[in-house]
Amino acid sequence: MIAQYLARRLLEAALAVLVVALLVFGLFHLMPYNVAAILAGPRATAAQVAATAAALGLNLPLPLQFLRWLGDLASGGMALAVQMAMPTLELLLLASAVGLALALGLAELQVRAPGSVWDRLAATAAYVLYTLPSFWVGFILIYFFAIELLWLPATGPTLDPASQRAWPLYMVLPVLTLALTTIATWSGGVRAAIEESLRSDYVRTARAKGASERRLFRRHILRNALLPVITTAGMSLPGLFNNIIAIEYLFAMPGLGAGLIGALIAFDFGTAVDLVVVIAVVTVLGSLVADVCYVLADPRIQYR
Amino acid sequence: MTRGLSKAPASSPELPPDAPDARRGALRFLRRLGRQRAFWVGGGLLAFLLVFSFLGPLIFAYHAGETEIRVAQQFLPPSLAHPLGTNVLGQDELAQMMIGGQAPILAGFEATAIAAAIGILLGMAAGYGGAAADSLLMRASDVVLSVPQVVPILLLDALLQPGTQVLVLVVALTAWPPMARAVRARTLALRSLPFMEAARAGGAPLGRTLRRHLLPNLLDDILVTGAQVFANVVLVMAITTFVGLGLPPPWNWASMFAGDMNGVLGGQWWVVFPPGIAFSLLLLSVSLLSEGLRHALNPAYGGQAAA
Repeated sequence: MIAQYLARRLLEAALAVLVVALLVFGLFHLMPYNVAAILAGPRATAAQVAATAAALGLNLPLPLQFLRWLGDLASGGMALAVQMAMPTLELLLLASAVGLALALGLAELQVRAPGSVWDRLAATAAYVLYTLPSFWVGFILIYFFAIELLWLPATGPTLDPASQRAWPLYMVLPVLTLALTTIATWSGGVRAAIEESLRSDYVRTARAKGASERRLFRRHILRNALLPVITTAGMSLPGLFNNIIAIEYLFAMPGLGAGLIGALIAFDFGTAVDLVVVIAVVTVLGSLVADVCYVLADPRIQYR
Repeated sequence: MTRGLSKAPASSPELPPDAPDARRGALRFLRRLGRQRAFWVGGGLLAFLLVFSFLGPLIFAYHAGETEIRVAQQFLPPSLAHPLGTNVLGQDELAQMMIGGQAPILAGFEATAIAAAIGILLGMAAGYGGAAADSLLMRASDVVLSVPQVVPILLLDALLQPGTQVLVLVVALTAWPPMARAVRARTLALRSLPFMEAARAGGAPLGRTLRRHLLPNLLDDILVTGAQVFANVVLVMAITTFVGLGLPPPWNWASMFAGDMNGVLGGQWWVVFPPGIAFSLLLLSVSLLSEGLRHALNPAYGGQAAA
């Protein structure tokens, strides 16, 4: 039953990614540029331009180009794009984990002692974070921790081997930046989920049985509140990409955002299509994983 | 507008929306609004930003908008002549800050208005138009939501270098789903309530039913979601501008931020903080304003005040 559900969802996801690829192909095809002439260079002769166009298959009709691209895909044509995506995925996963932990911590502070100084501080922190663009958060962190205190490097891990050796150190500020911007979007949902859980019968029962506040929160409230949080996290993935692009630029990190901007500015449409498709795969898979986790975590939900 | 604002809140939807005390309702609304601290703080902040950005340049125009580079005046610290110092091009930072606010504020409100209009129309159609329309429109919003907003914007930006108006339109086309969802949810909840049924039974035409009876009761949700949409479009435009695409010149807060960042490495920190703080103030003001309006519109609305 779950296998059937998974197969159907995977098929849907693959279809969605194909549609995105088709759209991007169509968009590039409509652009008023002679890509072959640009890529062949300013001093290329007409014959060289024609050769470039032929080598890239730009003379073929669009449907054939698309099929060719699909054929390349099967023979590892997206290896470069996938390689470019790795740093972004690391950033995304680490920041999601840190952001979720911070959002839950903030919510616990707010819920355990409503109306207290901590509650109001946490609410204010979430509210202030909401008004801070990601590059502004990142800059403040760089300014204090890298420039004034000299504790951490001012960039993320770049292609420089020195930064790759000290990878964890270089990842601290980018991960923290992305985590802080995710808190702004998550903490409201987390808090609402916890409050709803608080009002439920099972929490009253557990409290009546004498469960400690700590056990009550960890075992009874958190577990049930996690369900809506999983959905929010899966759905907020595309939004996270908005911030990832700014953060990669700010911290001079390689990745999907930097790669996409570079490819677009260089008119390297082939790489740009691959990168957009990788981004689509990541977001579609993200919501798929969230849905599957949701189904696995809550036996009441029917597979549809 | 004032008539619309006085309509029955969700807590007592059985009040006929054309009650004779509409005028007294408007007065009550204004009195409640006057008591909202969030409304005054947010409104004051927004008014300040508007005066600063649109009237300020008329009074304080110090080499603003010039692109000539004055090396000798690069990164001067704050002084009487240059209250916020000078930037990477040797321009007065305060004058640049004033001009730099125009594009983000205008483009932000324009994109919000377009996205809200699309979202409200589609949301009402989905909530009121039956199952087929509902499922089609929600699918469409799922598709838009699943694409990172910056991707289509960056593609169009890099390839066509569109003007501000095209950019605003594209941003709006990526930003409407939250509004459509909020409006749809509330429409579904309201459509079978007695006052809606009475309107239908009374033979009111569809357009009038939606405009006079449904829309006023959606206003508080529209305001809350509208503030979120505003924050979203301002941030998305700021991010695309920050990475070198997005809003075209003249310089605005986001491109100033990107251009002046390098000054910090040389110890000139003062040039980067003003644009960053300005963005925060803009988002804060609109958020507080909508919070105040919402509480005044519908005192029964849940949630906490922010200020």
